[in-house]
Amino acid sequence: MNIVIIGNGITGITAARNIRKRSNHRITVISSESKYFFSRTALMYVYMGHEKFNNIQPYEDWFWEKNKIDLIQDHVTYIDTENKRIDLAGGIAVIYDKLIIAAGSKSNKFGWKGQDLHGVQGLYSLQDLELLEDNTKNISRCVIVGGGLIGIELAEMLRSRNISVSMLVREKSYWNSILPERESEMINRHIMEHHIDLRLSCELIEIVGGENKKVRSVITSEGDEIECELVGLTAGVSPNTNVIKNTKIESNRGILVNEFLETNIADIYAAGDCAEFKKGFPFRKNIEQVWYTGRIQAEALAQSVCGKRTAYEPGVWFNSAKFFDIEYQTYGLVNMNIEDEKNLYWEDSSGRKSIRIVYTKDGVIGFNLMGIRYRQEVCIKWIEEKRSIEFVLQNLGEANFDPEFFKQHEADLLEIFNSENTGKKIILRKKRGLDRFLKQSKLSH
Amino acid sequence: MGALIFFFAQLKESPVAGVKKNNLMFLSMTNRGMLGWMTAVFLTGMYVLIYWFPELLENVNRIFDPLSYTLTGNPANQWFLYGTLYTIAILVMGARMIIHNRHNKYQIIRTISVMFFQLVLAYLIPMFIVNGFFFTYFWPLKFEYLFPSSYDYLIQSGGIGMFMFFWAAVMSFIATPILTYFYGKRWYCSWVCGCGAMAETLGDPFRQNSDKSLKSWKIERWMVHSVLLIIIIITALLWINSTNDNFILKRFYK
Repeated sequence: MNIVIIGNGITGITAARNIRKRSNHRITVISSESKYFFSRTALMYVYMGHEKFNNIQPYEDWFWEKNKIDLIQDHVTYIDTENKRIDLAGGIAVIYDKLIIAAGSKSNKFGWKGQDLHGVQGLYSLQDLELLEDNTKNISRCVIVGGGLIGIELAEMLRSRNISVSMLVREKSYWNSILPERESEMINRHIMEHHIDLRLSCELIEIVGGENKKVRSVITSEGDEIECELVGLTAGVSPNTNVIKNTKIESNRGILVNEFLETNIADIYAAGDCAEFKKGFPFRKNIEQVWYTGRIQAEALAQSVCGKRTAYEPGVWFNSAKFFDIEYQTYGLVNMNIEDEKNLYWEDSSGRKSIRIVYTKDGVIGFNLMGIRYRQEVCIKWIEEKRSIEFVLQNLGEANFDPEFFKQHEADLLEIFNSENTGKKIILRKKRGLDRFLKQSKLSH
Repeated sequence: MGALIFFFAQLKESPVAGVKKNNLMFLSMTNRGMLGWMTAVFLTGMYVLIYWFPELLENVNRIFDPLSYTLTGNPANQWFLYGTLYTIAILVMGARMIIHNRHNKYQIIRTISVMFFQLVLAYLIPMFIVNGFFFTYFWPLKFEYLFPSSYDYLIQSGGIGMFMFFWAAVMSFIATPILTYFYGKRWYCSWVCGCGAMAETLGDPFRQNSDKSLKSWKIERWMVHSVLLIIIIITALLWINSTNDNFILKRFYK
């Protein structure tokens, strides 16, 4: 069987690898972005000089030939679903028996005046990074529009080259649609600590051009005009549906799929950033634009393609990121305003570390960590098993995954719980340490 | 000293602690540029001089005479020069490592540990207490420590010698396997060993240049295991030989 995958990001490549593990089907991956798979989330480190581009390619170049995964670097112009044929810009056509569309996202542009001027760009693809290199030669001022993960990454990148940055955030606090208030405030402070001109509750009105259609300044909703030589548009991403243009494949914002990642056309699947679930999962968005979910979807999809029809099971939500120097991990339902939820929150006096546990009377439902590492498998297990807050607190040491010698703060969190709940006297049973380590190594051997 | 002042000056430049590896890949020194190659040639040249042309270093040795007389009572030779420069490199670049990782208690303690082991146990003690014996190097790294000849030499030199031989044997065959089982090789390589100390201090700004290909990993595995095998065979042969009146190696003697 001929399996063609459009897109060589984490979703497309995970699908290809898992299909190869399960079958001898012919696999072809088409991407116009790059010949070889690279780690998109590490692109920023290439710009900052931590890595070279070849360092962020997780597999060596020989890997694809050895595993009989054909790579084509070309642009898909049309999918002929009747004849199961894909036309490429380079002039050739590829025939498929089953097709997986994992075309990823594109940066949002909301029709701002001046959004197509030179020096205005998003940050998503390898080409965006190359453009950024060109656009930031000998410049000193930039305005970033949008306060999400990509916005703060772009800010860190530009600061590494001593470019001064103004950041316009529409919300009243950074990324507060996802982060609870206290954590969001922590990141506000941290952004400013890095000498970024953070403007909250501030929107972009217009981008003003100068000579040669180059950006000259932006005008904000507060009436300010900020001079700049680059505008980074990082107000989120939306599904890249360009490849299904003029086809009968159904789409809304993304390519519509069911829980088996099947589109309305037989033998055509979509997964990752570009897919939109017709019927969403509880507490989940219909479009999931996260590295991990792309990977999990692709693993399920590989089974289906190889004959074992398997539904995507999202499992307990998790994600992680880094805001400059503060690491962030989240598990389960946080900041979702679940009925009767309670939040137990501790913040370090440095204002750079915090632990949040969200729970209801039925058990713990979410964790949010800033500047502290907790073990994913432990947190997820507690959530799945609906462990009570008392149980989780007693055993909290098991979750701690900071390096040795780091100060442990679980006892501080317990103290807050005990003082907030009169009559409760929870004692930390397990601190992390050698005995935990011994048990673990026994299990793994 | 100059380097130390430079590292402290960086504190001012990046006042927010955190992993900072910005621009490493753009610098000639750390991205195999001209400066990097010149440094490589210089360092390799140093080793060539020390091992094969020590007489060319005589003038440099004299600079270290005062220090050498204080520590050992003898004039400096090329080995004293080497040990001193090696230790200075670890101390200065160790300070840099601590400044760079000041947000990370593990790295601070670990770096102090390698600096201590290098300065005290691999430099000062061998220098002026027990001539040439390193308490921190064990067989098979220092394979001659468990040769019959060392055994004879140490046992004959009385109590302290006996202690040193048993120390070497216990560390090699009991402590190392146990500690490695629990902590991996890091307990030695990045906490104790002088080679690791060099890699984790002076080597830190260059670690991104290591070859991460599957091929280099395969070569590395073949190399370390064959070296280990050779050391085991040599050590075993020497012991069998010494207990059998030169039975095995007799024919090689002239």
